[in-house]
Amino acid sequence: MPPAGRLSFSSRIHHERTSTLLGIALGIAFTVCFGTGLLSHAAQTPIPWFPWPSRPAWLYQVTQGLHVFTGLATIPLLLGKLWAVYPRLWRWPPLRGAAHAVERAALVPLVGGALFLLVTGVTEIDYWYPYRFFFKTAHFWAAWITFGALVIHVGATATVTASGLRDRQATAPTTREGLDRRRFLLAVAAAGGAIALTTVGSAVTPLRRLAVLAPRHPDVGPQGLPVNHQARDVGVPDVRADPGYRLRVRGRVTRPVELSLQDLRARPSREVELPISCVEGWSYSARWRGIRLRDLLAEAGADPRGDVIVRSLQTRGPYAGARIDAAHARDPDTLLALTVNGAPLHLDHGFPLRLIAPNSAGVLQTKWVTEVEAL
Amino acid sequence: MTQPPSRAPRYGRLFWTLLPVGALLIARGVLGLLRQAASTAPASWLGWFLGGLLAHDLLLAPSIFAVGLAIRRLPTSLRPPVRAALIVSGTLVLMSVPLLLGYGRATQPGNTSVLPDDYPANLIIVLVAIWIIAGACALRGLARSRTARLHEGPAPRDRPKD
Repeated sequence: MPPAGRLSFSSRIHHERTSTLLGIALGIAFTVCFGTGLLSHAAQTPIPWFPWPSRPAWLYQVTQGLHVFTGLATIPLLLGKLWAVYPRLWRWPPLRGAAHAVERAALVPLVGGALFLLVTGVTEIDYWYPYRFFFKTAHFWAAWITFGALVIHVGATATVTASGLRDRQATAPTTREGLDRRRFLLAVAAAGGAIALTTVGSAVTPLRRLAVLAPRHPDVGPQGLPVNHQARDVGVPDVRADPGYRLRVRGRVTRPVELSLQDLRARPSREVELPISCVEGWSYSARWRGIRLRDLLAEAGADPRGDVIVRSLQTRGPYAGARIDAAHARDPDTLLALTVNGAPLHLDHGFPLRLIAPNSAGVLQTKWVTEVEAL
Repeated sequence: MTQPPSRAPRYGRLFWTLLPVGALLIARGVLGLLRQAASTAPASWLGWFLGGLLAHDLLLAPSIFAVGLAIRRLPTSLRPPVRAALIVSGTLVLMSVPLLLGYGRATQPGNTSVLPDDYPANLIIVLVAIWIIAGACALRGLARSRTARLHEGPAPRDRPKD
């Protein structure tokens, strides 16, 4: 055993029960993040055997909020857990048999993956991309690797976990050790709570004043709403004074439709209250007024079971168009919106026309819509 | 370490059942990563994957250890609140590094809704609040140990190191 072992680590915190309790909390947190992450991918990329529903309207807001804020609150859990088991990293002999070797080998993808997911997740929501990979794909595959390692780890430590939970004596706060362990766990929980309190207001509006460490505020931006891509950043021409703007409904339709801005404004409109829910966890609700997508599709004679592609005027960026599945396209609340909260859309919110659909990821709520292609 | 040898992990049926399941999930992740190499940049990916591991094990954990040693120089009754306040403020500072650097603002110049706050000021306010709470706890602890000493004579000596 290296000389540091006995001298340096108090047995109070580096105890099995501490690491067991933190491990269970971490296991739950990572399972929540993995599950909600898979749901987010299903919401963005249609999966034939797992259609993402258009109802309830708030579902994506909740699953993605859970994903991001659970991930953030996991930071102290992970650091606390690693601290509790750190001495074991230097345990001697390093390997005791084949099974132990497998268990230790799985720690590399487990710990490396967990740190990778938290670090890339935090930098991504803060719009900082200090890496060469595309966040979504890299984070997605890292999650599979980490979760696989977690499954192996759970199998390898089930016995220890059970004995850690049975260790009643260790919980007794009468001993100094028990007190110190309890205080350590409380401090880790307090750190998670402090992170949640200072960030979650970017999605939970009543707490917005507390969101002092959140990268977004649900009420800061043009028209009091956040913007993720400005018109000029994605190459949208300024159409505010352009009489040539048209919305076209084409593709597999019997009667193609072409509407000018005046035509759009003259049509019967509908007002809905729906959230924009960003993959980055923040969300806000607003009142949108516009024309129903399903009315337009019916007028053009599109197949009611078909998906549609909504295309934007934007010339750059990965979200210049979005494939909208039939359920979302035919939802009575899915609009091509002309106004938000009673005023015409700001150019950065998608003037003249943006898609707004219930239970949809923000990246699919295409702005500056100019074409609807029926498939 | 301290646990008796009887607690050494035994690898039962559960381990051998979950091992192939976990291995399959890992294999799916690695395959996906390699298949989409254009967007996952595997070399950069691996650098961040292992970099995080090394940064934690060789930099962060030893630094926490050094701070822990420093805490042991404090009077016994002050240690718990100081330790707790350091854990809470340390994690908040770590999480806030990208906000403090503010590089995210450069990715969308002119977008005032991206990182809209004065994060250094906000973080200081949050940290001050945490340390005020910790200070209050420490004062209470000091008062309590003083009362105990008055009533019961000298306080028991601090437990020697393990």
